[in-house]
Amino acid sequence: IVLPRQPSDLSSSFKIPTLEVFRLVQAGEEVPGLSKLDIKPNNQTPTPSQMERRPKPWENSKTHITTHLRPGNGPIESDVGSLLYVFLPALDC
Amino acid sequence: MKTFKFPARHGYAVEISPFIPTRLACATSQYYGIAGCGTLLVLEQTETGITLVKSFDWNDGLFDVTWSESNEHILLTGGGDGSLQVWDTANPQPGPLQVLKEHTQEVYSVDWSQTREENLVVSGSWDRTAKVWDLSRGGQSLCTLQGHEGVIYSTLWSPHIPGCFASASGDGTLRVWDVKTGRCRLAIPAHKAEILSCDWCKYDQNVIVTGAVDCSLCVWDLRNVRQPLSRLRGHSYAIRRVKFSPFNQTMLASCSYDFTVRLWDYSRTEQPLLETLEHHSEFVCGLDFNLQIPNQVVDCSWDETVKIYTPLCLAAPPPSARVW
Repeated sequence: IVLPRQPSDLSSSFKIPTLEVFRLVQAGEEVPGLSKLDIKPNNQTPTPSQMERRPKPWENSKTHITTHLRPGNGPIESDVGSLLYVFLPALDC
Repeated sequence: MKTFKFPARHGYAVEISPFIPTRLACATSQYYGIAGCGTLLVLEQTETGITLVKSFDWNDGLFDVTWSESNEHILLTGGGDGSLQVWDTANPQPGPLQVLKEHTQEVYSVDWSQTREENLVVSGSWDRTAKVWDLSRGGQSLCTLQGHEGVIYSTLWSPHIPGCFASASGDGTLRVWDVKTGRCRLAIPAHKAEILSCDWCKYDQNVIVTGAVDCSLCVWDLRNVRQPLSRLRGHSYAIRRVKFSPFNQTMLASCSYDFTVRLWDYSRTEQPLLETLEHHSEFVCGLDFNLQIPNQVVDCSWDETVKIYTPLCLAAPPPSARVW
């Protein structure tokens, strides 16, 4: 869990009981009164879809979507390789 | 503004259905995600408010949700127990259809690919790995991608480049991955702080935004990562989630631990901040734009509410998307 504020800030944002829950969890103790569920998957097949996929707003757009054109290809094709137009060894993994 | 209140649950993520524009899902956790269970809320917005369609409980906290792009009934969540759960809103049973358990720590991010030819899900975990899944191929991941040196907070498919996703991590880097080769293609030390969120520009395949604990957003052109295209300052605490507008090339929204939601246009170099919304009383963790109702935004917060609204700066008809 990401709590970027200093510990002294927590009391202003969290209700007191939750702070207690936090302390118990940090100490590795059981939190009293917490319902323990045991939900399992039913492994059934999904309800069949009855709807068509709708195009996204940017798929309808007449705006030119910036891509790299590869010579010799008919349709505009792009892949991850085209992102390395400027190779920066210090930043590549 | 429409509000839904869900007592004793803290909202981590909210997503509007890509099929049904009035339908949304919110992943929540008990006790702020520290302990206890989680609940997936499936909600419907009406003219005047928001109603509960269905709720699904899970054994652990839920941290992210993504709707299927191929079936309007299906959605997927990531949980504190390291598993992904597949849910069917039209199935009367209370539990998930399927549980995918491989990650060894919290799954903080799940994303269903929006690319037409794919049917893939990517998950990001505190175990520092990302996994790619094809739900039609059973319960095993297709591949596991390693490289981050800190927890992963966000994994997002590129909307334009098949088999490509970005990840944001506690190690301060933004990484771009190629699933076909299983390799990391780019690692950018985007912030000197944990990066909690990222999103792809919908109108320029080379542009990504990151949001970090240093309270700033950075917009990057992946062809030249020496410095960001833009650095957006204004939030006073960590950025928890950032999303690019589906309708405008340079517009984005962010939500923060400072309790606010902000709208930005990074092409406005003098004053990119368009609007600040202060309608929450706790961390705002989830945010989404409606793909079918232009200018509608939804958010969720640890103050136990989901809110749906149109920011004032978006209330006018959207300007035509700008071309760079």
